[in-house]
Order: sequence, then C-alpha cells, then structure tokens
Amino acid sequence: MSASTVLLLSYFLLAIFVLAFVIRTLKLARLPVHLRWELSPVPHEKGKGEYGGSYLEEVDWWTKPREKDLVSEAIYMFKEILFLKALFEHNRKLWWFSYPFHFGLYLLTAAAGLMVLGGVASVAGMTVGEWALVDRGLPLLAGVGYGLGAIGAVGLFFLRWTDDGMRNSTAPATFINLLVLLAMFVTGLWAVFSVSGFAGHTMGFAGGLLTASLPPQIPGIVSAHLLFALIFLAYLPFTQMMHFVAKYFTYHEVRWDDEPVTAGSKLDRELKKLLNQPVTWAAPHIRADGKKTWVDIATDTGRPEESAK
Amino acid sequence: MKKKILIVDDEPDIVSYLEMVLQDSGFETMTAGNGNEAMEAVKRERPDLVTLDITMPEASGTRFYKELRTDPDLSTIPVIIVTAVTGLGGDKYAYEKFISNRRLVPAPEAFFPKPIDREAFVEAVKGLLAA
Repeated sequence: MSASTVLLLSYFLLAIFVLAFVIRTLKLARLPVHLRWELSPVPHEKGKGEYGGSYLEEVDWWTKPREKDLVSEAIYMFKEILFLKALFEHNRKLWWFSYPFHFGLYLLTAAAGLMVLGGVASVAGMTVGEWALVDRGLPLLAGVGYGLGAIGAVGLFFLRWTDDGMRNSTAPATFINLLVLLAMFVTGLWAVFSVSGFAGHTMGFAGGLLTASLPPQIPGIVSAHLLFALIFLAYLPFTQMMHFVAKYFTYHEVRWDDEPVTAGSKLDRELKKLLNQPVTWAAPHIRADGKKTWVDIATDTGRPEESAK
Repeated sequence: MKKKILIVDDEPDIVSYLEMVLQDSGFETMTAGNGNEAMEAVKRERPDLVTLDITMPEASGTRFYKELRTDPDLSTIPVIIVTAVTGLGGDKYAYEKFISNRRLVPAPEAFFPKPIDREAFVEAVKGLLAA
C-alpha cells in the first residue's frame, strides 16, 4: 500500500471516529431525564459518606441546604476508573481479566498520547528521539499495555464463553469486539518486539499525519498495526465499548443526580413533557392505545365511570 | 437483674415480634419508632444492647448509629442492626459491608437481615450480653 493511500485511509478513519464519537456522546447527553429515585449515599454529599448517611435522611430534605464535596466525588471516581472498584466488589471473577484488559487500554492511551506528543515535537523541530521518556517509555508503555490487554481479552473471551450465566448475558458482538481488540494487541506486541526504533517510527507516523507526509521508512508491521488501531478507533463509537462515555452519564446523571424536582424548574418541565407523551407499550396491564399519555395511564383507576369523569 | 434491650424499629409487627422473642429469652425490652426517639431512650434508660432498624422516618438508623458511636458516653453499647435493606442483586449483607467500611463509625457488633433467623439472633444477643 502506498504512503499516500495509508495517509488518506488514516484521515478517513480518524474523521469517522471523531464524527461518530461526538454524535454518540451528544445522543447520550440528550437522552430523556431518568427516573427520579432517591439513591444514597452520593459521594458528593459533604460529611455524610464518612458514616454512611445522606441528606435524603432529612425530613423535607429538598428544602434544606446541601453542601457538595467534590474532592470526595473525585476520589470515588479515581478508584472506580483506575481500579474498577465496583466490579471488584460485585463480580470478582470478571474483574481478574477485566482489570488487566482495561489497565492495558489505559497504558495504550498514555502511549498514544506520547506518540502524538512526540510527533508534534518532531514536527516542531525537536529531537525527541533522544528523550528517554519517549524513546524508552513509549515502547515500554505500549508493550506492557498490549500484553495486559491481550491477557485480559483472552481471559474475558473464555470466561464469557465457558460461564453459563455470563454466556447467556453476552451479546455476540461482545465476542467479536474482544477478538478485534485481541488482534490489535497481538499486532502491537509483534511490532514492539520485532521492530527496532519502535518509538521513532510511531512518532514518525504521528508527525506524518500532522504534515500530510508519511516518512517512507516506516516498517510494514508498524504501519499495518497503526492502521489496524485506527480501524478499531473508527469502529469503537458504533459499539457498546462506548460504555466508557456512557458511564459518566450513568453516574452523574442517574446515580448521583440528586437535584430535587421543584415546581416550575427545568427538571419539572422536562418530566411533565415526558409524562404527556403517548404510550405505545404493548404490555397488556398498561392498557396503552398509542393515544393515552403516561398521565392518563397513571391516573386511570380502571373503572369506566370514574375515568369518564 | 434482667438485661435491658432497646428495640428500634418503625414497623409495629417487627417490634412486637422482637419483643416476644427477647422477652421469651429472659430480657427486658423497651421500644422506639425512629432514631430521635431511640436517642432519647438510650440517654434516659441506658440499655445494655440496641437492636436497630435502618429505614425509619424522622431520623434513620444510620444517623442514630453515628450519633451513638460518636458519643463517648454511649459508644460502647452493643448494637445489632436488623434491616431489610439490600444491595445490588438483593445482597442481604450489603449494608453490613457498607456500614463496616465507614471511616467515622466502627462495624456493628452483629447484623441480621430481615426476616431474622430467630435462633441465631437470640444466640448473638446472649453472646453479646454475656461478654
């Protein structure tokens, strides 16, 4: 494949990724307001988490001042993101493979960051190849990341395949995703171990993308792997792997959204709008006909004489 | 002299049941319907043990537990948490794990999910009051 084809293909894949990622994220952010439920404790409740309390304990809690503790929330998020704490507590069997898998991806993200940084610095005329952080750090981060990712992907594939409970709740696409990622990890490992000057070549690729001119001496396996990584990036926004973005909304907009519904507020208006939507749910006990709204259904006593009033 | 046990719960049926179980086992009982009443009773009566529900009106069991445990005069009174609060997937012991990991309060002396195992509950009460 010629350098110009690789370049065009790379831009095309990156454009798909950026566009699809933004659209999918906006869609997630604009989902209808969730069911209001009082879940506690919420990590940002100041002074409450230390003893397991919540301001939801207070009588008429929505009328009282609520102080936020963002440090406490950040600590919770840090533990969740870095260690997958909830998975460790609730599904230890899955955590043993999910953790190396995700940590491998974090290391690869850091390696990609270094690659782009190095590419930018090279384009700016700096001799980045002499920086130990980049020259040694990039292959080290990438090698460990690919290795951990591969171990995790293989383990997750077999665990989900052999465990009856997990197999029943695993979509076929999840198995495909794991295989795609495994292929990326393996080609990455191959590139790191078989090519001398891995850091220089990958940074050359990144710099080439910035200047629209790929260096001619990039080894085939490095180009192939980076292209494969870009294909994966373009595929990512169309899969359930977008859960890393969705998780932000799951926590901040659902689990931890403790904004009370006060009369006339934006939340109140949004909820009223939803309640006035016609219901098409087919479950017989709902008795929806496509015309009745949620309000009609919720206030329907089932007695014709009362409903008619 | 009979040992005094304070039963804290807002469900009258649960209160009656625990009263019967504990009185049949030779203990004196008193009751409170929420965390505020419980704190008043503890200060007034100084019970030897408290059985504590979590979800209650006015002041929850969680808040009462914090107030009890952070009061130097009352913090040594043993507490058995008796609750129907569950965690993810209906985990009956999730609240015990949760409250036992708090920085400000120690783990309770015992924990029983509702409905309680009567024999194990009485054993736990006797064990704590014999210590």
